[in-house]
Amino acid sequence: MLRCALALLVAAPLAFAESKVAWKKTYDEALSEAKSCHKLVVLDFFAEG
Amino acid sequence: MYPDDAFAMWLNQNFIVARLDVTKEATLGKKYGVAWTPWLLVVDENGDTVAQTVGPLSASDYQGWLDSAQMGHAGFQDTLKMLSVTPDNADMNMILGKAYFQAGNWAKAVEHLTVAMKGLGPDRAETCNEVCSLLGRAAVRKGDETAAKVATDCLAKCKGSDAAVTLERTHVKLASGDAAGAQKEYEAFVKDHASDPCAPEAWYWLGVSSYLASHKPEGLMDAWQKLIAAAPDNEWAKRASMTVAK
Repeated sequence: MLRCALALLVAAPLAFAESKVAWKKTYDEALSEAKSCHKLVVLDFFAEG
Repeated sequence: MYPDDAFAMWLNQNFIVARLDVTKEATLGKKYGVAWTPWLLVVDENGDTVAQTVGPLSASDYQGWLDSAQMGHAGFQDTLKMLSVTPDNADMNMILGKAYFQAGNWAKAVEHLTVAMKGLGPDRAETCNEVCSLLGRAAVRKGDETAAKVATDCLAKCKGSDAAVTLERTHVKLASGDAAGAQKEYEAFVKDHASDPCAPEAWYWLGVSSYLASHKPEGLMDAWQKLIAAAPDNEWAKRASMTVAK
């Protein structure tokens, strides 16, 4: 849980410029953190351009 | 969808969030049936789908959808346990069938909605319509024509419309890659079912199929502007509005 709390604290610096969402960079990273934090994962598929 | 700081903080506290470019993550896009973007999914830690929808959504609609997915997931195991005690309970099967439908698990949705349909009494016409329509849609997605026939027969008995089942067949055509064929069917649908509750959904996907078939934005803009003008408060019009506004 400490890891999850720290992830929230550093959320803002990691965020994209337009928002303060703590994006995970990859699918595997998101699932791995979901296991540690017992949370569900939101996948937002977009198309560049 | 994300510039709202309060929503971003709520999202960070309650979910893990990943933003994935479907043009670079084609395998994942195929796995999750991404038909258009933004395509939003809630998945569990094993990557199994809990809920899916097409965006964009306003921050409040997005939060409402995520809340619903989270609550549905939390109650899912409890409902399964209760169902093990009373496996033929129509209401429990309806709840599970809806949850599986929302997650895109068509086989499980058909299984539970079929049991729910059999358990509904004749005095529950509105519920009968909802269950049979959803069963028909799930059966079409599954490719189970026997179950689809059962659902449309059930809708006839409930005096319900099978328009949603017809529309689902067109969604399947679009998902198979036949955008031009789907476009023709969406055009026919909005003409033949102009006042049906599913018409806004058909207008939305008419725009999408037009773009996918032609790679030109005119048809999409035309369909979506008609949708927005005809039903501005509809959830599909709101999605279209957010994109058109850009």
